[in-house]
Amino acid sequence: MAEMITLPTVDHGEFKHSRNDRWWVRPLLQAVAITGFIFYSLWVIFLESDNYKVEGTHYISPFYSPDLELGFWPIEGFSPALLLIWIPLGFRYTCYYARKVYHRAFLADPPACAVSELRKVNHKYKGENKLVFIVSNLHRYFFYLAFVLMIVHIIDFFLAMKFEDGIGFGLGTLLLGFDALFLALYVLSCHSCKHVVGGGLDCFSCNTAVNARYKSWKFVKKLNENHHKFFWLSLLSLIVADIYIKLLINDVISLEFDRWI
Amino acid sequence: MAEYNYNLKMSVQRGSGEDISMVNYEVEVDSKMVVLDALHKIQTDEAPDLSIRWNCKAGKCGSCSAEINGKPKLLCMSKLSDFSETEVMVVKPMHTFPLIKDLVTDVSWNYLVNKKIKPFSPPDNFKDDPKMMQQEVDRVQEFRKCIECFLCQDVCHVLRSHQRFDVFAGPRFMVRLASLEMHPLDTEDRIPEIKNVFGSGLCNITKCCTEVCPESIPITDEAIIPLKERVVDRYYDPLKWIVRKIFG
Repeated sequence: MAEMITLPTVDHGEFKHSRNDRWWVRPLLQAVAITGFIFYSLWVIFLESDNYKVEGTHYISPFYSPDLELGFWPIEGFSPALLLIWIPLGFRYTCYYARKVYHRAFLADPPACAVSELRKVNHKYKGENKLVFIVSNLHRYFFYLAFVLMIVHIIDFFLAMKFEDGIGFGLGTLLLGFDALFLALYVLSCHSCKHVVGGGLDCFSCNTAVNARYKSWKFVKKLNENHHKFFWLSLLSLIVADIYIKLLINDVISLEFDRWI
Repeated sequence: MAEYNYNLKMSVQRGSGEDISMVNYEVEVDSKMVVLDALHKIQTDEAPDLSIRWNCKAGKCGSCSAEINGKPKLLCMSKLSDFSETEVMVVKPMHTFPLIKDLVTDVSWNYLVNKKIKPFSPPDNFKDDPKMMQQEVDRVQEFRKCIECFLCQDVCHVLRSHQRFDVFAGPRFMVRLASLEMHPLDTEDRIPEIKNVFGSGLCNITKCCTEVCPESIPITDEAIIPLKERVVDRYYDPLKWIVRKIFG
């Protein structure tokens, strides 16, 4: 059997390239967007842990959903968001699309296609076979947990139609609806979801049950083509809903303005 | 008779071994031409010793792979109308493979990798005219569009920057492995090799292979990630590991 061999090519590192386009714009914008999101999340979780519910409504910041009051939680001095925030964090960190974003934008590994990395040739490169990237192989489990969280956010949307004087609909309900919708699309379009529903099968026509899985796989495959869009839209809708709820809590926007029906 | 409507400035990599340089040419072209036409005109008018590998000139043989303005492309499918008429066009050979001369590289490593893949293995009771349903054909047929231009191998940073030719097969062969693994009539188990020999774990999903594929095969989403998920099934899924331990 033929053996693989090492070829005598040279890579000089230091972002060397022959491209004449602005290849650095996209990774730069993505790095700025993700960094902004991280700082915003830290602020919301650690410095705004008392401002996440709007009195007189069932509006709750998506960062703090679900609003659990357990015997052991929340612990004094700890943000209530910390109980479950690791689920969406883990889901996004191990997400196949997110891997592309952070490997390009933060680790420059590579920064763009056909652009050298900063360091010179690394013959010891192990990719996702070593810590911390090997954790990405647990994406499937974060998907299962994110699926449960998605249902919680959908319930939050329906609860947001409940007001002190009965059922209604406000701008907050709509924004929490967008949050639930884009989170659902992001979770359901996940590559692990595609594999679990049918992608792992070799035979799609073996029996009736498998045929149902084939149809599910086709549906998720269609969604999966837009997974990257749902990644960003779900982040955006999360922040917009949270900002709106903070504006309501701080009386910048009144409940009269919020309520449509 | 061809009508030329502007002069294109081209900078083409020439030479071999240690003696490599960028040579500037100015060539009369028409915007309907492709980059390979412009190089052929240089070959005809100025540099008869310019080496270019090409064959079909229809984007189906995968011979004329090179890098135009730093992007891996087929020379025969790159229309001049897609490039600036005033800027210098830089043409270089594929960076990842050893240079033979000018724009020609030695891609024979790929054929060595190909030989390591266990071929299609039908079941013992395989008939001469086995039936496959259309839905199964659709999935693996997409992979059969590959023309083996090796642009995906060229752009993959695991090979290009880290030069892990010893432990990583590259996107082209992940596509071939996926087409075999997903084939409903195939009985071979290649998952251990996909993880340990062909190095699926080295891919960090930067998707450059998908971006450069001239056949628009969704290499990462439909071949590499599904293979990674199958490796997860076997090696990284704790629930499946427990079930296997209990039920064998």
